[in-house]
Amino acid sequence: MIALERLTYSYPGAPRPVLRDLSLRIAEGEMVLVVGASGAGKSTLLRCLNGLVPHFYGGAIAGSLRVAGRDPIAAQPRGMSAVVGFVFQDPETQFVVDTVESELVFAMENHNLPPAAMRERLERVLDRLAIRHLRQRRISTLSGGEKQRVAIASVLTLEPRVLVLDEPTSQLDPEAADDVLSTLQRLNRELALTVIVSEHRIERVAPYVHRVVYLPGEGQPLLDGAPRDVLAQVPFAPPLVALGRALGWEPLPLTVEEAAPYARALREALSGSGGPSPQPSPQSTGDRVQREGAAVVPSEARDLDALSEAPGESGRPSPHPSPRVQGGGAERPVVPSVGRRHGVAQDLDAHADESADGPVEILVDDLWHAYNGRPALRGVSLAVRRGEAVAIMGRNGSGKTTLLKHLVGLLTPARGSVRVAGMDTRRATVEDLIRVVGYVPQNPNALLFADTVREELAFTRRSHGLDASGADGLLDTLGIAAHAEDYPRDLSVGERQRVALAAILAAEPEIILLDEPTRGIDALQKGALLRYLAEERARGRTLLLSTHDVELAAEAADRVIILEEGRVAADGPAREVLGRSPVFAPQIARLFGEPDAQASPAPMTVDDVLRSLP
Amino acid sequence: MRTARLLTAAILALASLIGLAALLYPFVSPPAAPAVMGPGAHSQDAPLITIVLVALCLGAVLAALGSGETNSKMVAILGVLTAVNAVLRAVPGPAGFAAVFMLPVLCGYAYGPTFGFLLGTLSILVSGLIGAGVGPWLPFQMFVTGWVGLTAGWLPRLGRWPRLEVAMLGLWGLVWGFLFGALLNLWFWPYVFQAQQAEMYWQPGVGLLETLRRYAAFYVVTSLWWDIGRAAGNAGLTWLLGMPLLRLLRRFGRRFRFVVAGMSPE
Amino acid sequence: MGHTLAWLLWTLGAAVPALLIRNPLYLAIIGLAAAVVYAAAGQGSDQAQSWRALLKIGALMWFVAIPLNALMVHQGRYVLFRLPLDWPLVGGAITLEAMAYGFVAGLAIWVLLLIFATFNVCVDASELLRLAPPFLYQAGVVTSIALTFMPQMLSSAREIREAQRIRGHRFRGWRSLLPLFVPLVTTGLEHAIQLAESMEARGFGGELTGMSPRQGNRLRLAMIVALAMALAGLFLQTYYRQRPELGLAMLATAGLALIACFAALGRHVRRSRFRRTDRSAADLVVAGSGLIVALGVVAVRAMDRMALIYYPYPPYSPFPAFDPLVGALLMLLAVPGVVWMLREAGRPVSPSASADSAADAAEHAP
Repeated sequence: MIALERLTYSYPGAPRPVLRDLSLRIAEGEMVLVVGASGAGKSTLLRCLNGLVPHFYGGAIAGSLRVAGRDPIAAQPRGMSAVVGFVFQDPETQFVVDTVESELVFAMENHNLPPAAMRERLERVLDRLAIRHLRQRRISTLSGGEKQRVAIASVLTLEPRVLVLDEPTSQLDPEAADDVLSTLQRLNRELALTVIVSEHRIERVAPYVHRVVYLPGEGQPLLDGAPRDVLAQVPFAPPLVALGRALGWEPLPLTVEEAAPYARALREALSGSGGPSPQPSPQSTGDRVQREGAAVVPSEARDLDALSEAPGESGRPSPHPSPRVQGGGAERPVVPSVGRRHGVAQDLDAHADESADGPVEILVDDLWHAYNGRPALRGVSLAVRRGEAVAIMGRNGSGKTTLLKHLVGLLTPARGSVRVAGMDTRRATVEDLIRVVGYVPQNPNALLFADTVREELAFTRRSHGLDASGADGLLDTLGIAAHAEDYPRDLSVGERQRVALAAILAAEPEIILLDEPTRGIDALQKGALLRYLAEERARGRTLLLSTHDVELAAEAADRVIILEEGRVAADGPAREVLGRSPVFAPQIARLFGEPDAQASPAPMTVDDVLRSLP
Repeated sequence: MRTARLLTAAILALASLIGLAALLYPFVSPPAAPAVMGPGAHSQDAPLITIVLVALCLGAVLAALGSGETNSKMVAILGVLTAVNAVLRAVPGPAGFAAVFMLPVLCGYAYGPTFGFLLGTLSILVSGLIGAGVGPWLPFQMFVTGWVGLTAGWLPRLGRWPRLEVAMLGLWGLVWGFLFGALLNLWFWPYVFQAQQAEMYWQPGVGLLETLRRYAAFYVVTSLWWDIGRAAGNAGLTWLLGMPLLRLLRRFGRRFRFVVAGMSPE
Repeated sequence: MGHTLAWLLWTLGAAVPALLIRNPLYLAIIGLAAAVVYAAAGQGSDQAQSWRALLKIGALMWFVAIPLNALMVHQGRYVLFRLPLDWPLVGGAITLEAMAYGFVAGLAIWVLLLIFATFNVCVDASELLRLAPPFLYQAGVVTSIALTFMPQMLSSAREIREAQRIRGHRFRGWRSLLPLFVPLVTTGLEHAIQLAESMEARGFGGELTGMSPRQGNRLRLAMIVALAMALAGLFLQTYYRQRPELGLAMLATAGLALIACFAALGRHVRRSRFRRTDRSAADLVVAGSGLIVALGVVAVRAMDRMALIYYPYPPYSPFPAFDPLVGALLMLLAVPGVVWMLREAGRPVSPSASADSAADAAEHAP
């Protein structure tokens, strides 16, 4: 179906080719995953398949390509569109018309199909992707997942033989992502459609594919083979695979089901020590623990009233063994506090006694907020102390972003109160709050407008009344010093994230709020981000992350708050909450966690497991 | 290809002349005494005829510009900027100022007269569709705003002196701010002033001057203040945002090298 | 809310008489009919608000026209008062007829506004776009992209404003627009490039028409000839007063020639069009009323040119004429509104959301 021979391509004006001498063959009906770091050439390779490279981008191409019997270079995107369907990353930017039905027929109209054929194909595609109920809807009112399904449908109307998708789920939340991926799998099986998809979150899609292609970048040859073989060699693998590699499990497991037998065997082998559990030790490699003054927060329900009376004291919390119900009818999470008196809990408590519990920086009391009559937050209460790293998780629409906006003063509470660094957000202005709170929004593009990175930082500093050049060290810390004079929007997604982060940190806030920081960035950049976050914590800053990324939360946060429909559904140490949550458990936790409340919490990361081994 | 471009330019020129003539109709329109069989009898048809005519001319221009090879980048960028401009028009400002000229002037200058014309024309159409209303004044407004973008494409290239460049573009917006109001009021004017004295008819010299005087009076009373707001606002905004926007437009034009002349790629 | 084409025909049917007729009584009937339809069928639209504002402005212009006309034109038998003759422009007799004429002029504008207000609230913009003829395809796509991008741009603008605000940016005068506007345009341009990619990947691009360059040039030449003829006709109409019919004839020929060129261009366009097949009796009523009225008025005008004009100045009577038949014809414009109201009355009371879907269901019923 697809045959690439010695493909070499360089973008216009680029000193080196991004694809060098690549050869690849893909048979009909295969589902292929393409992985690689940002900039390695994944997107370029995919676009070669339908002629967008070189016709849309220019540049120089060499080698021979044959896709579904046509030559993309000769046929051009127009000619290839009938045999190759291409779906792009951003669900927002793929639509010409605002109605689903009109968009679906766009491709067919371009090809001058007769109306009867159009009608027939339209009906078929509506059923195939289960979007019949969306037929007359306005596209702007659909969710991200629905939009991507419409995008897939709109290219399927041409009944192509190959479907190519460039990171189709990177802008979606996990549920929508799973939805889209299972749709792809269904299409591949039911229609024998050749599907080629590139993804950063390998664990989502690895179980479904027949082959994996790895692009190391730098013009090096690609790796191509069965998933287990290739994933055994890529530098960034999903946690299960990484664990399998570390422990020598053969064949490599790709899903929790596959890994379960290994896990059982491991558990039996370690049966003396009560199963693997994380033992935080001074030499632990977990970044989270290597910090001074890291406040480890016991998860017992707190007496918030007591706290709110004396916000400045670093008083001892008075643990109540039973959960308390707050006024307002909001439910408090039931976090089991029994049976925690050994293993981890002991160490945690020890830390709690000796570490300097920072003062409460953020105090949210029974916060309610509604948009247009629809409640987004229902009686949320929480407290965050200085130096903590808290992950706020929840489905789309559960109120995470609303909560963050309250913390920076963009929204004021209709009911309840929010106190940040001693300021009440109803009385303080946004200008006051942003002196202590830095909020990095979801979309870094909303911030970037200057001509160079340096100017972005200078702008923030000037706006805060600080001297413009004081933040130069920040560029080094975040690893973007090399780009100081570059146009920010020319950088890659991960770099832009970091520029946005720098632009906010330039004002030296004490509290940092991050909204979905890992959306669309690859594993290497995620690691870099984690390191920088650790450094900020080392300086004593408080971190709040709003994220869907379970692995990020497991690595970066010591406390996790789960919001569900505007209420706090869980609030406690990361291990506890993530380990017990059915939806938000990381792969490792799922593997080793037991359904009933076991004595010690489950391991979260590969490191946790490895450390617990003798 | 060259013939096609020349012919398209001719279509644009002729259509614009017709549009202009249709707008200037009242200055030369014969008296309205209906009893007189002759020229006066058809003066009541004038508005209807001119609207239909101008609409057809607009259709001819859009057809000529759009009948060649389609270019997705141009279409998409034009679409997006049209949306931005249409919304700008809806943003109210002092004295009814709507910054609807800044982008056509800047884009006409950066991307060529064709792009500027299309941006001006279509943003009026879109702003009409989203709220300002589709009405009989639309073809005239579309034409005139199109001319704003078109003429900006003819301005001298002063890339070496950015400040001067932006000053010139702002000035252009100023001029058009007034011209736009003056030209478009002409559309309402016949309704109000159709009944000139029966003895008044077009004569080189006398009649024209008299008509101009009356029109000037009408203009001062009705739309001058509006137009000062519009002209000053557009000029001001251009002077303020012109430099970074021009840089941005040129950056994109470079990166995605689409050729704008006659809507055909190189 | 009914088929778009039907509403377009209705609007044309109402606008043509409104432009041709100068008689205040007839104009009032047209206005009333339009108001009935507006009230009945245009309730659910979000454009209603902006139209109310526009109608207020139209009313303002109306009342400006009266004194303006009275001050500028000094003819008529019923003199109200006199201003000194040596005052420029306004000097002379201020007559009742002049005021009456100004009144009628303003009324005409206002009625036209009302007709288009009705059109705008009954019709959806993207539906209107689907009616764009094939020779205007590219302009149609650009407009479509603009309309589709609109909601995104607005949410992008909100995002940017918030992001800059929490970074310390405050509105300190006009310079502060820069960090708001530049990212907006940049994001828009980036969006456009991605959209262009998506379009190309679905087959957009290439030659729109199947014509050879020679054919294309010939068509363009034909358009040039037609336009030249139109220009000539326009000048003839104004200068060559002895034979106005010639000018009018040239204009008509030129117009038809242009339309023929458009049709030829449209035939060559290599793009099909998907049509939804849902017409109902209500659409016929709407379109029919418009067409009948327009044709009727044109016929009346052809038969008796003076019947529809109101010219108060001497030697004519300052009182407008009225023919009940013409009046009845014009009342037909209100029929769609009446039909709508009857339908609404016949339906059980329900919240607006399901009222819309019920209306849809009723329309889509065979």
